[in-house]
Amino acid sequence: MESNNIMEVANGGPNFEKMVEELRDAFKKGKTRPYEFRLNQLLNLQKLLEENSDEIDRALHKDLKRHKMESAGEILPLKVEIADAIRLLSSWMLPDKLPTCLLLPNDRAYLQHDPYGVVLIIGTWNYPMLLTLNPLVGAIAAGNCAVLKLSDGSPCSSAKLAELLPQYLDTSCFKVVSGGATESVALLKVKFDYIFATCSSRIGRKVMAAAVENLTPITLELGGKCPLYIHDSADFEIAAKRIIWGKMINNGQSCIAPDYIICSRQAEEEFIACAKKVLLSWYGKDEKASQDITRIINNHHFNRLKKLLENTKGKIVVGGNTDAADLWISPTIVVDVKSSDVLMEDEIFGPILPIIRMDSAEQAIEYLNARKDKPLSLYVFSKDKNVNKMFNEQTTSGTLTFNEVMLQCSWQEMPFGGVGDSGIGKYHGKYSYETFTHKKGVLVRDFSFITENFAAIRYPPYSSAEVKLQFLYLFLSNLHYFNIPRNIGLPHVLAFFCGIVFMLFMGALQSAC
Amino acid sequence: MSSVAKNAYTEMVSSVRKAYNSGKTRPISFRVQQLKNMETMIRENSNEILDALAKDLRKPKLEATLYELEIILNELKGLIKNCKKHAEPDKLPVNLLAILDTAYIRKEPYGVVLVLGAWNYPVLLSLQPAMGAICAGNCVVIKPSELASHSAKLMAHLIPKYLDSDCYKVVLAEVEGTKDLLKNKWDYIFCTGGTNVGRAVMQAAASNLTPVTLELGGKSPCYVDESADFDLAAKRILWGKFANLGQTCIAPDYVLCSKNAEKAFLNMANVVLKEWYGDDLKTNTDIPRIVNARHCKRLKALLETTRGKIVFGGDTDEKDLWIEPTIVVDVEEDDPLMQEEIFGPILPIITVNSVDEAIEFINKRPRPLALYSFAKNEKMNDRLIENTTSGGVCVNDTMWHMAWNGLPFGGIGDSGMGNYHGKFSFDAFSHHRSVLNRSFSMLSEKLGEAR
Repeated sequence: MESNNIMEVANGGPNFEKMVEELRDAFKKGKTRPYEFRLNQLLNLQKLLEENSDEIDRALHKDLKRHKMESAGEILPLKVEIADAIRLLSSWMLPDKLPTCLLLPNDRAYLQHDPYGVVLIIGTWNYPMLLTLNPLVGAIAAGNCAVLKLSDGSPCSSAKLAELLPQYLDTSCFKVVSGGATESVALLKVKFDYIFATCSSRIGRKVMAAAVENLTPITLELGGKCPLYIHDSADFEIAAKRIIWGKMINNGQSCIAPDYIICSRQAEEEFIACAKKVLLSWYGKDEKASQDITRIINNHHFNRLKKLLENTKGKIVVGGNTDAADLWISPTIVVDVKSSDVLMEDEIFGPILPIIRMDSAEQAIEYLNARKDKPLSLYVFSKDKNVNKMFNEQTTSGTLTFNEVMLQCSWQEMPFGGVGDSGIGKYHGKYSYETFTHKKGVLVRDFSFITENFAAIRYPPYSSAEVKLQFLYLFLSNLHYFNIPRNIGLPHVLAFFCGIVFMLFMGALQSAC
Repeated sequence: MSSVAKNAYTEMVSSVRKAYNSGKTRPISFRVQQLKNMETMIRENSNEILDALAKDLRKPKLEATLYELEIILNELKGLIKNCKKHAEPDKLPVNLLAILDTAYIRKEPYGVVLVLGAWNYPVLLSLQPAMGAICAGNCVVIKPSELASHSAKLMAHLIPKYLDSDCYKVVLAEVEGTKDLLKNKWDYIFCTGGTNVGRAVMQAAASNLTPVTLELGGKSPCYVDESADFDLAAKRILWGKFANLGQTCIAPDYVLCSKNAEKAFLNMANVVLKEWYGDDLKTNTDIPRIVNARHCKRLKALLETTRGKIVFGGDTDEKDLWIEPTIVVDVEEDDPLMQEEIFGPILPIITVNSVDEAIEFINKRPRPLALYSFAKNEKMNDRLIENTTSGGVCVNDTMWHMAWNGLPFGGIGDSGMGNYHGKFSFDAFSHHRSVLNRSFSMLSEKLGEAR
């Protein structure tokens, strides 16, 4: 079966209208709605990863020169997400019941979960498997059809996905599109019911603008510079390990990699001393020969990073070596960086770690809040509870992590998403399911005497309005006292009967005394 | 980063942002006080508000009280009571492997929020979103609809007297002014309006990646099954249709039913309308008016060009902004009445012979804000709910779900994105920030060393 379904149009450029129409037909027929179908697709996705793990690792290695251990950092969270979705799908799918109001006992309210319909997922190249398939898990669980746009930035991984997905998923409901910007632009011209994109802020703006025409709701997982503050109270040995680990995963090409550090001069000295030890112990003297460091994805990004190193006015104290033929940038630390430096303009997305010197946490917070961008992740390394409280209450970011990096992305039940320039919306786990679900409020009334008489006040003629209004005000303002939870179960019933028994018992006790 | 060219509102937005950055709106006590002040404002000025609504739309006192003031007061009560609870972080479960770590979700305000109101419930649709934004700790700029000018001016006059004027502003502006307002950078935009307005707002928001909630409209279908109680169905549908003279985003726009059901419905409708309005509807003070000449003309044209048969009403008087409550039968899919949201007191009835035909009809069209289904046969209702989608649903009544405590209110597709009311308002205007607090302990480090 074809993995692409592209119709070339006479005036050039692909046209995806027909492909999306097919998916819409499948959705209208209700194919993706039943629990069994969704479960089956998720199980197949699970099988895809299990049966092709070597091929997938090879593809990732070809694209990013990634060690298997780091690829596991991409594949493992994905496997956990799929396993969780399989385990929890039936509970996620249950409508949410709302409290009953005793004054309107015949009314029943709940939230019905409707899939949006045909959704578009735009993947990216730095974690090509995770960032394309993770949203897809939510889309499938929520009962949608989907189009996956694979990134041309990771050609081998994308080709592998394009080959495998049609073998495991129902191709009348899930389509794959390969290609680059041309294909993305063409896809965005078609009407989708939801768009989920992982990309840069610049592209995020274009996606949102494209969504306007059809008023398509969106989730944008964008990026930006993730700041990392190290307080003097931090444990520098552990901090250095965690920070270098987070920076060096995928050679700094992660949306949540610590982008730059803010700390005092003393902290800077301690950190660099520890960092040097860590780098030596992990990668040895000849870092380039180590099998554990990924490479830069392509020439375009390599040149961009090289230029940063050439143009920075800061002082390179660690690394700074490059090799174009190998797409190699060595782990690099730069100090004496001013906020006007080239390194402080855009997201670095590479293994270069600038350090900005600031004397206090207050100054750091002032600096962060003065910046126009709100970060995707903010990191704080500190044992000082007051400092932590300040960062908690006086800054904003998609996520906030103390004394750790990156793990907030795969922490159980933790939603992941940005704010401002770093994104709109959130996902992971049940939040993925909810992203792709429209929770429709349903109120079910009936024709009974009680129901009608309470509400009859609304009908004309509006004479005797004063009396009616007084009554109504009294009624409405005390409505909430009469709410009882809808999902009364055995424990509640038992508690109720225990209460009755207790009452009778106390009564008997009293009359005996 | 897009830079904002200076315009008439740049300075004002700047000053509001400064107020937000000062942290003034963060303490719960401050927010609750502002909400209480808003409650006082409504209570102390209810006559003036009713008066303004009467001038803008000739809204009868009962309608204005029930559908604006009472809803506002009820919402305020809920937000005041629950502000602290809503703002509490959600703790995430502790995992044995990470026993010394804590994880939670903080609810933070976005910052500076823009609320664009609408003209049909001018006070409600400006204040209900605004109070959610205030409760969530934001600073708010409200731009009420200029089409309901008396209500807008009243709000501009009252709000600075009751709420902190550094943090909460009211802006009076027309179309060009609103465009300028949108050119500024906002942290959240909440808009109630038509589909075109929604698009313009989302377009402006895209350049700053500003998240939005859009409460739009569309044609809300009303299916009436032969098993319905026609007496009550007629009352409830006609109430929903003619309140505010049909100018409600969730008014039942058109009815879908079989010819038999139509007959039963019309029989009851005649009785009900006579009971409610007597013989001369135009002089009846319980009926409001159309908001302006442009909309009146639009509705008159619909009555003139429809190919359906008018079986009740049909009278118009442009000078009085009067369109009589009207029912039209034998309406086809391509009739002028079926092209856009009617937003007026004209009720077309389209013949369908089964609930499945109704489902097919509804699914061919843009997704509505509300879906109504009248049937004693629960299976019919369930079938309709499960095979269509809409912002919300109300079975055996109209509009009621909008004021139901605990139900979110919002659209899907052309009828909008996002939702609000009650806790959903608080959540709409909050950024949920995930926080992970790891320790430096040896245990945590050992467990994490494998990486």
